[in-house]
Amino acid sequence: MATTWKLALVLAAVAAATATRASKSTAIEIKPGPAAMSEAEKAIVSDPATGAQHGVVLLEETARNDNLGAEYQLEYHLRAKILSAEGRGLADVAIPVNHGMSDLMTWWGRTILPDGRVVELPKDGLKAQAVVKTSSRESYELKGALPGVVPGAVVDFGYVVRGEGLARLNQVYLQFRWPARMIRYRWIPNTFFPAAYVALHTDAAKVTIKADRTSVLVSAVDQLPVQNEPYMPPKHELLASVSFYYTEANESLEDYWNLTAKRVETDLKEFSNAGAIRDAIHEMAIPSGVPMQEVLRTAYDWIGTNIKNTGLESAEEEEAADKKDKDTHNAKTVLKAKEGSPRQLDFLFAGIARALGAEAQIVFTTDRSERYWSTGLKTLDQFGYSFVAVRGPGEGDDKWILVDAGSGLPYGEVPWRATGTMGFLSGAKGWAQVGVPPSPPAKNRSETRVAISFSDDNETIQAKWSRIALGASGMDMRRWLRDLDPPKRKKELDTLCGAREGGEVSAADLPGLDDDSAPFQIGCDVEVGESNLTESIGRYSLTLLGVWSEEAPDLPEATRTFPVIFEYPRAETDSIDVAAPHGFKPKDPPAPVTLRSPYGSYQLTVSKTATGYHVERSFSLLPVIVKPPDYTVLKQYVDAVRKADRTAVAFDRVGAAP
Amino acid sequence: MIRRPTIARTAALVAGLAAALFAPPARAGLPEWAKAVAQSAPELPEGMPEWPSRTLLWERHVIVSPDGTWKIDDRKAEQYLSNRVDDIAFHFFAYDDTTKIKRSKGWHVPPGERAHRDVAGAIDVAVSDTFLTDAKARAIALEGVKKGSLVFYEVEAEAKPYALAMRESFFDEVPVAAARYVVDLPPGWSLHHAWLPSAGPEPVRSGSTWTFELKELSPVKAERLGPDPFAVAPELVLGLTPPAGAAPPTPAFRDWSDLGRWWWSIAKGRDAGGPPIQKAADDAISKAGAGAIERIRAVTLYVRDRVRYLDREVGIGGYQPRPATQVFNELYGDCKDKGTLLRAMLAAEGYLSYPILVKASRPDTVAESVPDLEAFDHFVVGVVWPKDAPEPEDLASSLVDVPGAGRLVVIDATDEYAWPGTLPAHLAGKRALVVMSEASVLVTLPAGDPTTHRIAKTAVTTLGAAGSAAVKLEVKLYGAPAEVARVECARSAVDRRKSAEDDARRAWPGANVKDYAVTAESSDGAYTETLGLDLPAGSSVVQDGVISLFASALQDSARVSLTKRAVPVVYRGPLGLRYDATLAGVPATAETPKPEQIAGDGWSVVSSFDRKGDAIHGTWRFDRTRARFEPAAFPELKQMWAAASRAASPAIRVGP
Repeated sequence: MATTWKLALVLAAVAAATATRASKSTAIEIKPGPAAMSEAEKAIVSDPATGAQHGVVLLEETARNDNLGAEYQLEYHLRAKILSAEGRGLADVAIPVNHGMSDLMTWWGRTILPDGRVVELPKDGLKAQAVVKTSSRESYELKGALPGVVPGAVVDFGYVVRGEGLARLNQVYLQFRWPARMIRYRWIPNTFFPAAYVALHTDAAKVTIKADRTSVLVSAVDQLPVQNEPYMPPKHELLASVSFYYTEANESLEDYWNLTAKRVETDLKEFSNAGAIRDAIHEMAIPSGVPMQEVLRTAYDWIGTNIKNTGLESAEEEEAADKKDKDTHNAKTVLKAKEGSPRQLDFLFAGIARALGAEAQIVFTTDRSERYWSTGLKTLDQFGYSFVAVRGPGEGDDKWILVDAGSGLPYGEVPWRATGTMGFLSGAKGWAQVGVPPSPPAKNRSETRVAISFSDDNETIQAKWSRIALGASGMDMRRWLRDLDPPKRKKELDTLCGAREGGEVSAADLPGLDDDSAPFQIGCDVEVGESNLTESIGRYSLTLLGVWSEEAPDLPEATRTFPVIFEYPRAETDSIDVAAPHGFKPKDPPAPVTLRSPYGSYQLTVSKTATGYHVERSFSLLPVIVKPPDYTVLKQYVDAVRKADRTAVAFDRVGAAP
Repeated sequence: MIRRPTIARTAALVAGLAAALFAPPARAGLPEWAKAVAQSAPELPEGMPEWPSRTLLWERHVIVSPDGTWKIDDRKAEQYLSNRVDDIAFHFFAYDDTTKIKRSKGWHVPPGERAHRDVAGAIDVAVSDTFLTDAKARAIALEGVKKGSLVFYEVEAEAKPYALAMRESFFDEVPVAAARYVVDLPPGWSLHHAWLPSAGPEPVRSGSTWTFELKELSPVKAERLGPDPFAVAPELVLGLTPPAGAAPPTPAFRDWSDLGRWWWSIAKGRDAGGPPIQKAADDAISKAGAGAIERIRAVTLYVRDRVRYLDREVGIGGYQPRPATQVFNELYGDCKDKGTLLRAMLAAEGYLSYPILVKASRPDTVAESVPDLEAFDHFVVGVVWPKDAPEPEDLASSLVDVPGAGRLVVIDATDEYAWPGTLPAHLAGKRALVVMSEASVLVTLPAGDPTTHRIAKTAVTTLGAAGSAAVKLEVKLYGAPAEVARVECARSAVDRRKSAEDDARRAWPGANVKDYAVTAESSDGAYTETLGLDLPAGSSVVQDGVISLFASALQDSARVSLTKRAVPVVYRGPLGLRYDATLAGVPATAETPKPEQIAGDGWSVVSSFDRKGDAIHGTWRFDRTRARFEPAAFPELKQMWAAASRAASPAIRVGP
């Protein structure tokens, strides 16, 4: 498992990161393109397989100059070939400005038709539309549509606008819905503020970045759209982009993260009032002589039991809560209020752990279903989670245990979205990276029990089913359901039980939902649907798939471009009893299926009982990431599991000829 | 046409602006009307409230001037019932360039405290997806809202409308204790009204003041296959009539013909063609067949495909079409622009046509006795069907008889994925106005039928050795299903192909898709996909020696749980499903299934089978003409689903 999660780090690689201070060697001249279509442009045709179904961006160039006092100037030019009716949207122009038409310094817009004719959109063809107006600020869009656009045409438009204000962060994507032959983006930051840029997921052969004392120029060629694949990494981590941003200081990346780590450490110390923490530890009544990890586990459980996590309240708890502002800003006030935010609980646990003699540091991680940590981006805004890394005094870096105090998760587990990637580890001496391993499959286990039967008249199939899901396998569902208003929760529960497929749910329950540290549990009685069992049928068979099934991933494509990313290592067991339809008896059971793979194992056994069949199924899927070269082996495994899951059990009518 | 603003989406934007603009709250006294509401506010419910807030009072008071302008006073009082509400409350007042806001205010009375005035100031935001629009909303934001808070809003505005008619929806996302619409008329003026979608209370009249009031309204919650909550909310339509001899500049519509005449007055001459349009029409028709529909369709496809849809709804531009020549040159426009160009091109070829106004976005918007412009938001074209021309069978769902105009084929040139001659499902069955220069006529558009909107599958399965099989599948979609598929294919041919292949692999699990081809639009309007599938030996499809004949026949028929459902099941329109299945290579011992035939109120299911040599051929046909099932009809609906499922279930025993 260790190798699996470490592989995820590769995805977070940063292409370049350099602060800029700089001159004019990056200058580009933005001007209208040729008024005729070149032979190469004429030759471009629609090709959905390469992403060029609707259009091709021939040239997109932008020059943003922030170094004009309080103003900026934006020059823009787009030239594109239109290949479909949908692609005509490229000719719809919307220019964001502050005040209206007066902000527009230069404009050109033309359509070059397949027959060579050129149709212009004059400046007065643009109309200003207010987007927002208040007494102190306003913003507009200048809108216009290039005329005469048909598939096969080339559109070419551009403008220069002036405006006020600076964008703190401007992320420029270099890959679009359609191919782009050439993209150029030049930025002249305001020299009054420290500025930086970072490029992500750029291919050095296709993207060049040139910086001088006052500006930076990004040039990209032949950028293709990213095609969707199931279980792919987040799009944000696949698309080439460059982020231009202003920072608080002009320090190096190393210095930035070191200073940030030290600030977090200072915050932690300020939060941790020694007296209050001492009193809390006293309440924990931890016996002496207990190993450090047991001590820490006891403290962790004490927080889970005694201090409410205000970020995880159920709808009922939130409704009942006293909304008077509780000034919880340090350990003392959190302990007094008996509640705190997720981050406050992490700080509280870190303070307690230190007081207990352990080493404890605050860790930040991203939500890896959305993005990975970019060390080249100097901001904490990219992080979505905070945890505490704890270890015994003097232990090595491989001994850090990450915990999420007050989360309801067992000691040593963190939400799966934070796992399989690297986290930012703060400390008095500076920063470090720490791996956040996924929890093992046994901790994300789910157990499902199903009893399938037929109505007295054999018209319908009924099922009673229940599931208990531990760790990551039930966490999202439990938190989501707890947060819903009761009527909405009831509706969603019915849906989960089978109403989504048109099943009629007669009973549905969520045992233990009130307990924020309990596993996810569900119990359902549902009429699944018609059996379609008629008098003329002598043999009747059915598969065991149903609303209760947690199917193996479907990976239909034979090859793979991007890694396969799963949520967490999982293990499932299913126990299914199937009663024979009235007047039928079970045949011999199907042969057992056993599958073993580097990515998990699977077993299906069906046995005949007095009333029908008993089925035992176990399935595990271990990896979080599978790289493209290993895809075939993974696909073979999940395909085999999906096939085995469609095993049918059969019944013969009693008294009928075999 | 002008659309209603989509306010909800702007809340986040306004929240950000409001947060930036908030200053410390100022103490302020409540207006008298608000004090009265505050004093009589009901107790908060115990426990978990069903709704986060409730509207205690909404009142719009419209004072009409003799010159046809009016003053609007808008008031709203809300009570917050839950701790789970956002701490910034908003009120949105939707308006456009016909209206000027003179004043807008808000007050917040936190529980146990004095009133605070809003201090964020006026925030006006654009609230429409329309490319160019003057639709906007004045947002009033109040901060610090919590359980027990009372909030009050006032907006004062002046309007100069395009017509002496008013329309107000009483929809709210939370319960409403009292909603009131008050109209003060000038001396001698009269008013007629209608409630939609069903009858409502009579107004209380005091002198020249008319008061329409509803109490204890509770919103319908959105359900899958359920009615649109907005569409079922009460809506009031008012028509104002000045006294005889008075001639305010704003027109009054005494009847639908008046409205039609007004529309003609602003559209006059805009359907004129010219040599380029004539040539384009000639070119289009030159490639068409001789039949009337082929020729009409050829011209329609020119407009449908070449003129890109771009809505620009600013001022009178929300109603007035741009000249056909302009649209022809620019090659973009909205529904009325595209429709007007189509009319010009049809006229160039000798086809008389009429504008038809209809509401595309929701049903039941036409008040028969109170004409108003907001009854419609879409423009289609009714082409007079040549008297002697034979009517193709597949044209039935587009033909309507209109007194004074004759038999019209209804064409929507805006919908880029609808087949001309097939009325799009979102228009089917709706009331629409056929606009004629003198006597416009309300008509009901054809409701559609399962033949027009159908999915026809043909599957030929050839059994191989050791339980292997090969499947050739052809799926042809017509009408609404074809439109949906064309949209998906146009957006991404790659994604549509994946979706079609996924559907096929769900029907034949374990199958490998060997080939795929698509024809997005054939000469009969079909969207056709063909797939070749290989089922390897040991596939789960052929288990226990049995194979299903109509694999996943019900894949395209949506179904919902009924036991706890209180709202009707509403389908988009009628639907026909056809399945022709051939299973080749079956042993002689295999039994041929028995046919089924069952029908109910608005539906029927038929299956039939025959055997030729080693092949069994089956057909399954499901027709649903009915689109709406009230709760009382749920047993009927269940019976329909069960019958369709049973008729589609036959399996052939091909092994021991």
